[in-house]
Amino acid sequence: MAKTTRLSIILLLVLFMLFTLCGCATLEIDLNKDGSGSAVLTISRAALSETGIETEDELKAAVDEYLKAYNTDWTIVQVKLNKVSQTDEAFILDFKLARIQNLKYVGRYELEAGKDFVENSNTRSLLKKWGQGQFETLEYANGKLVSSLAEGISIRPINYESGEAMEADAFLDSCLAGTDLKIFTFLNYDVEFIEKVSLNLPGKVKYYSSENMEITNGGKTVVIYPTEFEISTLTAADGTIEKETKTASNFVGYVVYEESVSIGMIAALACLALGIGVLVFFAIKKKWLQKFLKSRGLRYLKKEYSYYLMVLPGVVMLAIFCYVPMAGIYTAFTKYDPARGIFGSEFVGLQNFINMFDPRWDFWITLRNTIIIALLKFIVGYPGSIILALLFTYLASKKFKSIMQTVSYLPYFLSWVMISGIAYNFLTTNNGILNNLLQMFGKSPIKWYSDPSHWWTILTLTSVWKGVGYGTIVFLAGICGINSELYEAASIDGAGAWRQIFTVTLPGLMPVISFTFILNMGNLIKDDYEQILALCGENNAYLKDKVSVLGTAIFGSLSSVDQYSSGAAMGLFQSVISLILIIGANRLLVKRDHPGLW
Amino acid sequence: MLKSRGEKIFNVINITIMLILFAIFIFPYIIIISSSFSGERALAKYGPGFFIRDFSFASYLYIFSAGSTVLRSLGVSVYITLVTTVLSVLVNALLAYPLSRHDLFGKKILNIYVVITMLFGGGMVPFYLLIEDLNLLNNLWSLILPVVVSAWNIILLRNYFAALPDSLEESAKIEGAGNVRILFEIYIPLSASVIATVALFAAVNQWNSWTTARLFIDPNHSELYPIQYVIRNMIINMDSISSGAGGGASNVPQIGVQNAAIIVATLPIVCVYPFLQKYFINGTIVGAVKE
Repeated sequence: MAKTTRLSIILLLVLFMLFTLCGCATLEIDLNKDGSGSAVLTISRAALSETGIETEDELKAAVDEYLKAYNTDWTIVQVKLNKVSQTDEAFILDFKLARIQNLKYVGRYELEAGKDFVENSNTRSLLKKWGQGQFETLEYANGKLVSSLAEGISIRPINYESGEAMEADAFLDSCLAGTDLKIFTFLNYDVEFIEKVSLNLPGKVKYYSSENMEITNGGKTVVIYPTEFEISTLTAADGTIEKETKTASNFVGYVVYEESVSIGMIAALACLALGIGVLVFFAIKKKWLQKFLKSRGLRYLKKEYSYYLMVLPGVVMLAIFCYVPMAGIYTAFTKYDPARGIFGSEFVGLQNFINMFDPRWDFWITLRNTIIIALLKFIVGYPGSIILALLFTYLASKKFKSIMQTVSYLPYFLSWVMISGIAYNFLTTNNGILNNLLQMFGKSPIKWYSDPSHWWTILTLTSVWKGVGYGTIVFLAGICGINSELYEAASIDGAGAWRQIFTVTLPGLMPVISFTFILNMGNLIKDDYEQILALCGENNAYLKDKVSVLGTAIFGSLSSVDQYSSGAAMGLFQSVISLILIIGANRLLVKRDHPGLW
Repeated sequence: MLKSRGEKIFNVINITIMLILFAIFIFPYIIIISSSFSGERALAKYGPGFFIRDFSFASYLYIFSAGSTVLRSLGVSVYITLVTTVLSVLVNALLAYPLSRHDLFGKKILNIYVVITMLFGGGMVPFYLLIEDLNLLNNLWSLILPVVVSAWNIILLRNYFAALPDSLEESAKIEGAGNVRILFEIYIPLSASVIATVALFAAVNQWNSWTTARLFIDPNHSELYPIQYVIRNMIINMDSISSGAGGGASNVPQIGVQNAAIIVATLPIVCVYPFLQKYFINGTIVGAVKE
């Protein structure tokens, strides 16, 4: 997928401040590598007082109110007022900015790697148009459209080092492509009160656009002044379109820079080196190494190093396929963006979980189905296995018993695909067995695959058919373990087979029954999603209300990148609940003097 | 032995129930088998049923015709099942053996490291992203590697190894055998039944799995599909289960072909089933009643 993420920076501030403030202001922005940043807005007191804001608190309230309205949609994140301070002439506002996406109405901001920028035909043509003095039509706030024209203005790239201007085509083909440069483009209309914007880049400028830009601080700071040109505003309110033309200050341009290693990184590395140095110092001084060499562990390691080589492949594979995905749970707390990877994606805190529990979504139906289907299977299958085990035990013919065992265990080893194929023979509307039977008895056929009302039953029955025989194994082993003297004593006392079941077998089986019962309760939130995917298909909209469970919902989330995060959140929810249930089950077992699960 | 009347009645009821159950367990297979041998026209007219109508091998001929997707996917399934089984036994035994030695330094940590993977997982989405990052998409290793190590198998093997007498290891060490040799020449041959259990578990699970293929292999690489996924696609296409429309199945693979494919894919399971029954029961009991 191409990098289409629209990152926007801070000039957004310019826009929202428009609504509350006017007058002279300057904006200083620190841009981070990942597109987040911080901004300092300085507004003169004189200008502010014209709008009726005199004190710090009033200003804070005004900004907070605007931000509240602005930050509601969680995909457009997140401008945060950090701190307000004041001098004699001006107020200074400190903002924190996460990456901002989907900025539909506040102009166009993009931060992309140079190569991706060139590959994206939309952004490529943008640069060409600017070079020719043309601007695009774009959406503006509140249903307005702005179309703008600039005469005699063309924004062409300039090489910062040589000062030489280029054509957009040559620049795109030779300078931007195939390098690690980053390009930040911006376009915003009608910003009257901002006098200048300083942009502190996380690297050094290589190229910049020609109009109204000044590079200072050895190529790390770009000062941008507004460009004046004519814009036409189309208002589409009430269905009528009015055209209004005026000359306005606009911010337009782009900066190409090369990322440098951040000071923070260098500092962190320095700290790390210092830490290691201190550690080594102490290690030498306190003779840790000698102590370690004499320790039991190392002696053992030397003698039996082959043990550790033996466990290595398994340990590594567990690390990769079990522990790395655990780290990947972080996805559940981000808005996953494939271009940036798991840990580069925007952190959104618990937002995915809040969205998940939103009553508007199907999550509650999914949860209900998960629990009900699990309970149904348990209520039918679990006693079924116990009863079947008892019936097996009291079967007089050993041969018949072993045949029955063989026949009833077999379905357990069939995959759900096989069983869904078998079920299809019964359920198809095209001469299916069940419908043929229904018609034989004069009832009207049922469209099984589009009628959700029977699916809880179908899922329960197929699951029981598959698992009930296999489930008897544990109980049969338990029955075998019952002391045979007890039966003899019972039959001497005159108890028949029927009475023996209740006086000897079931009480003797009780430990196994309670053990497996508790174990099964621990699996309440786990669902057999393979069963549902195989039997009902993946996107059967007709059956969704009854058969969508957590597992299928998570599986479905993998079909679209947008849903990865919510899928990960659901997965985490399921894992955590099941962990709690298992730990609870284990507690119960230990309390009842069973061996624990681990 | 004298039997009371109550017992006789109980026996009769028991046998009756068993016969009904027998029918319930057997009936579906009979339908599958007989419809796989039925001619297409009879199936279209009467649907699948208990008896073979208009006997024909057409369904099987279709499956085994040259270039058939079923045949190729059978090959894929056999391949990944064999590789998974061998790797699974090897890696799990190598990890379980040191864990079964009671003097192993760091044993407790290693045990916890293994058990945690049984209790908690990252979930499907991070797992998918991992496979994507490892560049294993559209690669058969994506179906094999993740299922090789299993905490359950390790514990099974560990307990079995630990139950064998220590004198075996001691005398071998006196003879100068290394740990790896002791494992392969003494412990594994003595643990044939539990090794068989692990191998069969791995083989059956791999043979039966299809959701991973659905996730990790895209339709452009359908030559890598295992048999289960191919059959699943057949079923889905037949009834358009996915759209819920039902009926009107006039697509190429008719129900007879589907049922024949099911039989072909089930046959290996049925072949190893006698062993399965013996060893799985062992494994299940050992697994359920810990140590």
